Amino acid sequence: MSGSGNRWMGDAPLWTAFLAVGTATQLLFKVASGPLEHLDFGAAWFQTAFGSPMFAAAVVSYLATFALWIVILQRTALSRAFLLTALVYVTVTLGAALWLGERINGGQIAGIALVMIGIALLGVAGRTRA
Amino acid sequence: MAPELLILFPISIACDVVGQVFFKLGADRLSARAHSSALTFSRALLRERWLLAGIATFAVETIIWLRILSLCPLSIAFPIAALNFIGVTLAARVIFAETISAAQWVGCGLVTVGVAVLAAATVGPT
Repeated sequence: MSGSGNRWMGDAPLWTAFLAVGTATQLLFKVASGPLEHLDFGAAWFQTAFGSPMFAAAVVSYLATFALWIVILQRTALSRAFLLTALVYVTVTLGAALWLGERINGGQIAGIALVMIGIALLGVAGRTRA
Repeated sequence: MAPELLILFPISIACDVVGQVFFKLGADRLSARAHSSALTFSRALLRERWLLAGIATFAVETIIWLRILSLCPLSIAFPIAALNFIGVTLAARVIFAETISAAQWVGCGLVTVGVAVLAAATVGPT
């Protein structure tokens, strides 16, 4: 295991936090959008949105995701870090299925599999490089 | 497909790439000391000009993205947006001289196709 491999593992908690908060952001926005479903885009819409604790939580979560992303960029090459953000699409899809009861179809499973193999190759590339 | 989209899609992807390059430039300029507290770090984030430039770039990208969505279905727009993974990898190599191994390029290609497939399957007309 190389130095960069160890560094990689050391960043695991940071990535876990980024993925968890990034996923929570999207799920919170989705939950917050529920009461807006039957409202016209106007004063009542804004009142409902800004009065929603879920919306407030989503915004805070969004800002936290940004801060975590900058911390990641401080210590990671842009090309590697950005590729790993694709995991957010996977976790949001799984989170929507787990907690919001959305269905997952075959195309989504195929997409998730391709992303995971791609990310696994990134791990291999990191280990053989340094 | 509206001809305007042939210009809007490249601009949209360019905004994603430039925004991330600005974020990386800003992140590299932040000192490690900025982590002493959440408040200190938040202040440092808002004072770093490259980060503000990145945020401004994504504000422009949001408007372009809305224009794209008004011209074509999300099931087409979202998979095309997955090209930003290739764009950012290229930019990281050219601008920051990052080493991209063959395995990483293959990984980048798989992630791009994977996100496109996932996006198409999620918002596709079924």
